[in-house]
Amino acid sequence: MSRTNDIISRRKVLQLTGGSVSLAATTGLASAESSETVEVNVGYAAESGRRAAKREAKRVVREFASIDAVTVEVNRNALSGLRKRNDVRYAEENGRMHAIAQTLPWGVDRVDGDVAEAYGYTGSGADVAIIDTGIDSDHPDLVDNLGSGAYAVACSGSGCNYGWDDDNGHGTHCAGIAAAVDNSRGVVGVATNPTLHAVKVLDSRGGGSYSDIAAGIEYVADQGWDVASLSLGGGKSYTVEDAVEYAYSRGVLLVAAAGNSGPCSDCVGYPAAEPECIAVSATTSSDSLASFSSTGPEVELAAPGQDIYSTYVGGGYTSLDGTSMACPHVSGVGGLLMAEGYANTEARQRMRDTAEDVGLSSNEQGYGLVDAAAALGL
Amino acid sequence: MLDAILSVTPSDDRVEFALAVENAGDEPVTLSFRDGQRADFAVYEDGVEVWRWSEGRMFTMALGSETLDPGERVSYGGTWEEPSPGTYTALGTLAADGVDVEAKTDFSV
Repeated sequence: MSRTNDIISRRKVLQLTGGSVSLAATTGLASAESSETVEVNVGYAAESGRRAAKREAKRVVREFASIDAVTVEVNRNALSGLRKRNDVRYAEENGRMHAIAQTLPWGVDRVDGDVAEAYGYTGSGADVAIIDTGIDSDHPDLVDNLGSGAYAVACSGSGCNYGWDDDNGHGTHCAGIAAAVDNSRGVVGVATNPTLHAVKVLDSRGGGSYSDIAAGIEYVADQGWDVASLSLGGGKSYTVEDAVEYAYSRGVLLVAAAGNSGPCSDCVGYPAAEPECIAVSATTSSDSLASFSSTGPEVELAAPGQDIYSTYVGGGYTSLDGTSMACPHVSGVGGLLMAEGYANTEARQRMRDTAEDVGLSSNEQGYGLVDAAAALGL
Repeated sequence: MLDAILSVTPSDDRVEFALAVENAGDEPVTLSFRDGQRADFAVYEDGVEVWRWSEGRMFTMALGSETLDPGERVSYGGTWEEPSPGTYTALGTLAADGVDVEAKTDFSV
């Protein structure tokens, strides 16, 4: 196990920022939003300390063979808790994550986004709208693919260059899954060169009204954009239904997260459950259904949704879990197809016909795991 | 062991709610969330629900977590725009998985 981790850590080049970050007063709203991932070296005094560090770990970077320490990626919020444990000697920050070398995220690999690109399919010419919390407008791994944006709820805070900028992180993460740039840094998306549009309808806390969401969908249709990626969900809204019907009739391919209510059956949320939307369930790197994924007859395609590494606000990267992460994998493939001239209904049918059966029930995988290479006839 | 306090701040055109959750135990507590929703707020008049913050809202579909150390507190907010005058009871509920944390406060507009 340590050998594998060593390989990963050698491939990953880290830039140390050196600055100390206050971890002291974590009261109030500020801490509620700090979901930043940090790499830390945890020295432990007992086996229970090692286990505690690994429990909090989003990823284990290195397990030292001879010294009682482990290098892990954890949520910043977990740091102070680790430091207070008697079985933890120290938890020192190893530096913020700024991957310089580019990695191929497992999800992009699994749906064969890399294969599509190797054959020259980049999604160039397609317009993919991320209807979400916005997109980090100057993220070095996205900026070359960014087109115009719009917002129903304005970005708030000092990091906002545009109204559609991301004050949460979620939209930036989804954007990177669908279409991070193939360059020498960070990650690469399912499609590498479509035009990404931020349509900000969710606020800094990750919520938005039916009306704002419907307005975002309508806007995408009126722009004539190809794909609407909806990594959001909730209850049935007739306004959102109207917007979805309108957008579909105007040629927009609508992709939505099935929901995170799992384990459960017949529990696909809205707008994914609308017939015009492709409802996407989430799978793990071993092709099983992610435990949190909603399932039901509306599920049309499955895609990677657990431990997904992608772009994040502040020019950074992080790993997230959710059907939110599965959705943009399908949106990326949709962009690849529509760049080749498929209409929305044709692209939808093509993804159904070429999806890979990974052996889950139809309520779990729909037609199967989305497959970019097969959809493009590769 | 989680303690919760709901504070309600009414003004002319809005009512602000804040649910403060404190870890009153001796061990760190990790809160797990299914989506972007962290809390919910409901308003009752004579026992009948007249408004709910999450009604008419959708959320990001990514999991989230928050670890509270002993004594640590976190606060989540919500706003009721253009409330009708009256006397109410507000209920704030933490949206974390597998925990049952709520607090009530009476208020009037």
